[in-house]
Amino acid sequence: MAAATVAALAACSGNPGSDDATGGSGERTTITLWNRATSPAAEKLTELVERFNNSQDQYTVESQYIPADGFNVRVLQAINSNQAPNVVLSDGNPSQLGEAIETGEIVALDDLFGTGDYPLEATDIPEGMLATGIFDGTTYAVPTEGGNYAIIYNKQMFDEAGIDELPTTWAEVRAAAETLTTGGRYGIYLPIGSNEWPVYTWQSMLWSAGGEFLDEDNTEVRFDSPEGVEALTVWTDLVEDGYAYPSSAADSNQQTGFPAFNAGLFAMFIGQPRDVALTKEALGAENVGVFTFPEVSEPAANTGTNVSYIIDGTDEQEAGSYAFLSWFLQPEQQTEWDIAASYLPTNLGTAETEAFRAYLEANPDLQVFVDQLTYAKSRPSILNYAEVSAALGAELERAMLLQKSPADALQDAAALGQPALDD
Amino acid sequence: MSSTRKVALPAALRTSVRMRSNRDVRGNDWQVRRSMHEKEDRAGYALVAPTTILLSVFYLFPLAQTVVFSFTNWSPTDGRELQFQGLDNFIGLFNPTNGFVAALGNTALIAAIVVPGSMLLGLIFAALLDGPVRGRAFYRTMIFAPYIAPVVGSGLIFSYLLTPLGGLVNAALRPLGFPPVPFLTTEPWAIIAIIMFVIWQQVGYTMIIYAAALATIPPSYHEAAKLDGAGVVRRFFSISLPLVTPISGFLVITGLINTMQIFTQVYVLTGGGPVGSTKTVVFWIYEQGFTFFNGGAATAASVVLLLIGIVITVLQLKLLSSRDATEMV
Repeated sequence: MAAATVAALAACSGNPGSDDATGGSGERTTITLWNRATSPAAEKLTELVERFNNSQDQYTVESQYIPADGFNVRVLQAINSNQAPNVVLSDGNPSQLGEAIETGEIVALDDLFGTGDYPLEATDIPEGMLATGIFDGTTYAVPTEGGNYAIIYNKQMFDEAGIDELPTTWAEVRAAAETLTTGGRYGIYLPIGSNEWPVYTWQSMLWSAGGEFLDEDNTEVRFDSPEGVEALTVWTDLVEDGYAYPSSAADSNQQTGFPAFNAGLFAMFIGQPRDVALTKEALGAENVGVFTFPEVSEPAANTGTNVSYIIDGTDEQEAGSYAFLSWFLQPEQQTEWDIAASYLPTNLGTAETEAFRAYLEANPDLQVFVDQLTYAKSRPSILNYAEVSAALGAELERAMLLQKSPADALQDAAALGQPALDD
Repeated sequence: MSSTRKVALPAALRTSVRMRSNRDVRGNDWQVRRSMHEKEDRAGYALVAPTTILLSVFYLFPLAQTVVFSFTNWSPTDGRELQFQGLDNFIGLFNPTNGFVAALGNTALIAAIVVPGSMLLGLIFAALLDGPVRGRAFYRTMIFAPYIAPVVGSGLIFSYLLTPLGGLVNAALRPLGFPPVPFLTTEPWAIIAIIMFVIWQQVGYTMIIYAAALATIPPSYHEAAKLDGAGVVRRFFSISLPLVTPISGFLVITGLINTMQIFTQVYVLTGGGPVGSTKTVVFWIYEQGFTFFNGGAATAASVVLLLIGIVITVLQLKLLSSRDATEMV
């Protein structure tokens, strides 16, 4: 096992890229791009890359698929062994970006905005989303895939229960859940489990209650505040009073529990844009609705953005890499990408394109997700986010299973998470 | 300095060195023999070379690297200079808040039930299918199939079977008056489910090994016992069981080594939850290595796991060899 660990950790092979200054086709510079897109996003990416290559004669982008599992480790290994690609498309969460930046090989983008053939300014990207790529004041990455969550509900159940007005606060959600809980059916499903999803969704609760995840310098945990306790108590009360679908009964492989939603076992859950299509398919489009993530005391939303960045190379490679990224983020391309892969726009202009507006008109529920982006914030861009999140996730789970009080759980999570920030 | 250094030579080389000193006595005859031996030596080395190279590159070198890294601040993701940390990584493992000790306990619990459980069931199946049983090949194949089935696939099937939302197991329990059991998401059901899954996977292997052992028992033993009036049960306990017992030692070692390395089953079925109750040592190592990038902790834990494996194996081999000696007397 010991050997297997290092072999697995160390043997991640890279693909040559950064040393190949030019490709085989004349004067063109070859740009190696790593992606982890799967169908249908993969098909769209292939199409877009081909279009970029045909649209100019300076650069040839070679897109290589790397499996999502261990994607980040492969990227980091490749950087350390000088076999890195030129562009990494849509890497995962904030701590993963932090690890990449730690290598010192990620190209700062601040001076590149506004340059090149494809106009892209930092102001084109929603502030909350751009923040994911900002590390210690420098922008190292741009968001290329946006996502967030809202409440997906069963319209038929709401009608039968006589609920005419959609909840806007968690107090109203609770009242609705109380009415909807009947005969083995529960009002709402709340996220739980030992992974990032519960932490990611609960952050909106925390912000909405007026709390903060970390302090301003990202050096101290702050989620164990009275606001944090208030935010967590909203959820644990729903479980304790029997209005929330007992999270312990959920399938551990399903973060949002939508199979149970499709089976009619509860009436509301916190879901992502892609869940809307899946639930409509199961229950019928007329039976599924979406409403804005409710407030504890103020509007709040969390954006999940997968970010793309450029790795050190020759001047031509870096220029070509930026040319591709800024082209990829243009509203025209992004509209196609977002529609194909069920993502939200990360360029403010994308939401204004005719094609995207038509898409929203055809899928009005998605408008709720788009509207939330105006005030959405991102998770903190810090190196040890994964450890802090794991510590909090385990304690959130204990609280939601009613094994610990919200105050104790958050206090313990803070005690476990803080050392990760101190490292 | 180097000329006086003693180097341990492989047996084949030692032979040819001894022969060289006898050159004058043996004369030409020796020349022929020497060239034959040299040819044999070369052929032998050529045959073992691929395995030796592969083992060195993919096993021995990473193993040595792991041991070295376990004393440093190594991280799988950055290229910084290694700093010697002494025993810090090892001491850190036993900090109760980081979950390593709990993962060790979970692994021990799984091993303590899976190893005897799969052996007992394997023996029962092997005994039942020993001799001319109708459909023997079919049953053996069915029982052995889980052992060779991809763990991820069979794990997913298991999770569908166990889900409270219309899973087959809960559907079968419902008519008996049981409420839906959330097998994979509540304690202690989750670890019980993991144990059941691993036993289900392992039992085919133990059955095949026991079946092979049972097949080596001369039929005359059973025939003689039959003549003395021994029934099936008596013959099993008095003849079959004692004669297959030595193979159990082998199964204990391989079973323990296998269960110490349980990872995929946990990854697929429970993701280590609920509240970490099914995290095994290897899962913990994976989490430290791939999620938190704490290479030092991950390698230190790997070394601890390796040492435990070595201790178990040495103890078992000692016990086995002393018992073999007793049996021979």
